[in-house]
Amino acid sequence: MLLIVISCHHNRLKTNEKELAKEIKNQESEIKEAERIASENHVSDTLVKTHGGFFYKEDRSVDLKHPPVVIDFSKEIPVRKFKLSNIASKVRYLVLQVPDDSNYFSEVGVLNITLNNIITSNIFGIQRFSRDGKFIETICKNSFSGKNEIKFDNPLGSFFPIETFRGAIHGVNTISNKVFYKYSNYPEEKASLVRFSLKDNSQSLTLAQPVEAGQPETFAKGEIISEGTESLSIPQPELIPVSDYCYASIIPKLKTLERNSLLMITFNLKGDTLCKFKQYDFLDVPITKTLNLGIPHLKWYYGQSSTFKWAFNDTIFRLIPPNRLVPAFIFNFGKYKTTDEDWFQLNIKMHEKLIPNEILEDARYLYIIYDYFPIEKNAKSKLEYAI
Amino acid sequence: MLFDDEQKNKLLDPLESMRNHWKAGFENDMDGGTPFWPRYITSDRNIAMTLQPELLKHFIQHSDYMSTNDPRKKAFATFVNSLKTGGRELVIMFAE
Repeated sequence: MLLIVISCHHNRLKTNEKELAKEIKNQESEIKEAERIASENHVSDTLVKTHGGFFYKEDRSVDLKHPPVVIDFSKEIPVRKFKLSNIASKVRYLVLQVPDDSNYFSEVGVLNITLNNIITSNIFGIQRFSRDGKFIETICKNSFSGKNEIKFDNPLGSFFPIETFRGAIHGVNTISNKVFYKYSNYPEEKASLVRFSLKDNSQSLTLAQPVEAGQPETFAKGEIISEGTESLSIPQPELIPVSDYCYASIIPKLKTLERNSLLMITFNLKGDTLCKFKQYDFLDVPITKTLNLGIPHLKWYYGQSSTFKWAFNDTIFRLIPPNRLVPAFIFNFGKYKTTDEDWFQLNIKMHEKLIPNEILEDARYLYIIYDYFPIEKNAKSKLEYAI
Repeated sequence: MLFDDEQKNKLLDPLESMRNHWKAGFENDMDGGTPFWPRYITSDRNIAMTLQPELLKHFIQHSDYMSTNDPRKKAFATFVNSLKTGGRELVIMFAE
């Protein structure tokens, strides 16, 4: 009874239609504004479901048996000429070719080299080769309108309208004899995560767009493991397969440098969120730069371990899914450290700062390329290579 | 250890960009080929990089390959001249 009384009190009959219309309009505006704020704060990824159930708590503790290795950049770094024989005992070449005189390799794209296969991916799709270079099959064929060729001497003249794109362009990775990729259908604003087994030779075509005759203009092979929406207007997170059962989603937006924001989410193959990792590096002052600077997060695989160096954070973590980030290395940059404030604030000069932009790791070395900003006036940054 | 090189990224000139990249890689003292900087790790923990035939043909024309008597460089030039351009082939260089 009490509830009814209160309800009636807040919803008493309006006799003035104009007043009623105004109130409805205000309420609609408030709802729209609330939805806008909610969508900004929400991870813009429909492939990840934020259920209300159990989450793992993030754990960044040190592995006491394997404490992180500290690499010191703060003192003068010795410079010397290295030769290939210092790091290798044999050089071998392999020539890849897609049948039918295809121009597939006019864009190099990305390679994944497994024990038995070489998987190549670029804007034209995903191809599978044996380790001795023999073409096996097309795993995913992309389609888009415009030129289907990249001019080597004018790559900028080869851009195509992304809104016409259907296929795999991001997130192609191999984990234990499986290829994981994201198939994007921009015209229909759909996205699917697909898993392709390198052991099973009978996988059927999915997501095929039929044409009147001949081969479909686009297709994907493998099993669809999750479906969601694709959007050009909202920046999409980077999706990284990190194990047989788990993906990591790297939050792309500048908002990740605000307090209480997220750095990364792990989720299972059903799309259920497993763990949310918080961002602990954030800007003290709102950004003044209008220039859209990227956030130089770095990631690579060491064996099957996904390894991350987030921008402005000097610790390098290996992810043990779903919730452990184990510190593996610590970079001590000393006075050369680039903070988020240095990177994004216009009034701060980058003199004598360095920032890594590529890292690769094998059993013996880290191969690091970084930008160094000299102290001399008007001097441009230069790339330096270190092992 | 550090490789220090005055290279600049030239987005509109991939050849220039690649030449600079070559200058910065490990000097190839093994087979007379191009310098090497790893871009990929294989699952058996070897390192590799990709090379486009256009860049390789450009590389041998703009160095001492045309006049060399070094048999390793001659063999490398023969290999490069056999490659198809126009996106039809891609070379992977493994350092093992």
